Amino acid sequence: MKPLTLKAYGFLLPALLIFALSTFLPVVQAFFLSFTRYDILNLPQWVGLVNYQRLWADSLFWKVLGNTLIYLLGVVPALVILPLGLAILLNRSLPFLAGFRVLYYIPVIIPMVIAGVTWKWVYGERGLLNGLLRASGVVEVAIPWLTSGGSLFAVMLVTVWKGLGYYMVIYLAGLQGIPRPLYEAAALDGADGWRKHWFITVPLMRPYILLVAVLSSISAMKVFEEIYVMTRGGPVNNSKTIVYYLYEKAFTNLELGYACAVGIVLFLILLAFSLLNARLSNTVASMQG
Amino acid sequence: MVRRRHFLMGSAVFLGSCGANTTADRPLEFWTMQLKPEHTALLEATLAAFSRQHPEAGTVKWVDVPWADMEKKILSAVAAGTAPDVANLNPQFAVKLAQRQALLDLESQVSAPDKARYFPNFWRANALNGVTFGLPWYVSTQVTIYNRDLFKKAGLDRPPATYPQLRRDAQAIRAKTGKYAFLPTFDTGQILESWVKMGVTLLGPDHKAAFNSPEGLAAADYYVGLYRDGLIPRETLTEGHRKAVELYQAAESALLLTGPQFLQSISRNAPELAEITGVGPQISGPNKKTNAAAMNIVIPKATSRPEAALQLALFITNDQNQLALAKAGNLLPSTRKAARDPFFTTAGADAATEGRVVSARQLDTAEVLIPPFDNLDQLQQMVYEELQLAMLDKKSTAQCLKDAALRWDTLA
Repeated sequence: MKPLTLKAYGFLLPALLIFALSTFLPVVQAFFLSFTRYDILNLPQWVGLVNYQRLWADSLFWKVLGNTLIYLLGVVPALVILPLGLAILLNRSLPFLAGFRVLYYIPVIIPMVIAGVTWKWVYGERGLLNGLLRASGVVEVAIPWLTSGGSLFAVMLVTVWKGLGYYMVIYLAGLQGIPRPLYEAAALDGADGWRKHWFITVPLMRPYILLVAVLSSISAMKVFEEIYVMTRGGPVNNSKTIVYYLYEKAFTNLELGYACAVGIVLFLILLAFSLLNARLSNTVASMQG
Repeated sequence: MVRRRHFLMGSAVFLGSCGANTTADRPLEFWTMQLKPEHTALLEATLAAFSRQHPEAGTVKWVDVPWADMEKKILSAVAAGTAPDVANLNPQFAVKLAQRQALLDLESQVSAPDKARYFPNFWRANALNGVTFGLPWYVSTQVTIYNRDLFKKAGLDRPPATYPQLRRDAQAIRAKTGKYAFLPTFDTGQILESWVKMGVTLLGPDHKAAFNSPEGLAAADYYVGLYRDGLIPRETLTEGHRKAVELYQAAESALLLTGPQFLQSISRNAPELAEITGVGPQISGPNKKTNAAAMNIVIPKATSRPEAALQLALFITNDQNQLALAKAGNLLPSTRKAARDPFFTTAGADAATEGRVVSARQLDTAEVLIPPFDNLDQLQQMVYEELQLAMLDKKSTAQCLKDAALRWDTLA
């Protein structure tokens, strides 16, 4: 190795050490603990694969994994498509655009706890939504948004509402990087608005679409605060997701070994997503290059 | 070189001082649950009096922790070896620590005369498998807080005393005012306690489920019926005690089944509502049992000063100090002598004092209806989950009981 390279690694070493201690060590620890029975208060006891065997047979684990998957399938397409549409609309030179951009971004800066509590009021039996629906004659009896089997979908709507502005900003950055002459050339060739979007905007926005898909997938897999604030996983585990289940096992039931096994499964799923992202990104790059 | 030597010497002195800092030169650490700022002056005076009377124990460092954070904070402190010497917990959580041998067994540490000061029921509420893991502190017995205006509008003149009456009142209130009678809370032991009052035996002597019985079916059916008939809010399934208080304070429900200490917050948050609030005795069943909830004082096993910690725990929970705290917080003491004070028998014109007297009157007979046992929280979770499935019409009540019993027996 060249002396200059060695020197560079020397400078990197402190940061790498901190990174290893704060990021990799907990993962290794969690992996180790997933093979133990551990309750925080007493030393971990090695139990081998027991936690993973239990996980396999745990119907609630499969239910929460299923819920998480439903959440992912509901939230990700919405968060990929809707912000792109909004960004295209807000990328024009129309009046009050700055105001609209701020308006859509406001939910992003509201802490999730506050948003969750507010939406609980909105969804309440005597809340705003039921009030509007009843006043307009759409329904006669209040819809139990958060207290029925459909509570997960009600929470998904809040996640979409809150994430819209964030992903829109990512798309806006991408849109502003598309060279204007491409649209002008397409216009000269007689392309209308839809064709321009379909043949210029969408292909050139692919890296951003992929980025948003991966980011929103990872955050959907890790959803916790919305559930904690709005439904506590209920009713009857209908809105319980994998991270909420992990939290419950670790801090309510004090089954940290088991919770770590759940965490490792989540880690593997997220790792698969990240690898898929890298693969897709490379494919897109080679297509474009 | 000289500088390096100085550094090493300094480090050695620092490390040495860390190691030496274990007993007399370290104040006792005492954690409470959300007593600041209302009781700051009282607690500080009590702890100062303790230090004066027990100079050998030294000073006390008081740390007040919010309710919601206590479990996490004490767990991480115990795990990190930085547990307080003395802590205030509730038995439901203390039992989790006791189950994992993290608390000192006080059974043999406390003298017979000291034990005799407490109500026996409350003393027993802190025992698990023959180990006494805490001293009783302040207690409360549930009362029936009701909105007199809503009752009047519903054509009712007094709060319900039994569960069948509660159902009849709920129907009248819903029909005539459009409001709900109450919100049963699934985040507390309230529903299971009411089952015991309705005559249900939860567990048999072998610790196996005994609630899958005709009494259990009637008790479960009671709540399933309330829900399916629209007599309790849909939010019952996802909300808890906090929502019940909110609904009452917003005059959206006519009843609040809780401790009398909540009357103070009603007076503070909704003074107009406090004026039309009345208090009745706890709703009970055919066996006339009434429930009591107790706070306790525990000593983590990790304390380096167990004798001084026990002195402090006994001091905090003695007659005089319990009486002072009960007077300040509209609470009830767990010691018999303090409970005989006229403060608990003289009712005033306001709901808060009325509630105190009603609650105190129940002290002699009230019990902790669900005493601590291994995996209590899991039983509660299993029964409530199954009950909710029946409420949502996903299964019959009989099936829900059968499944809850099966789940419990598999765990037990």
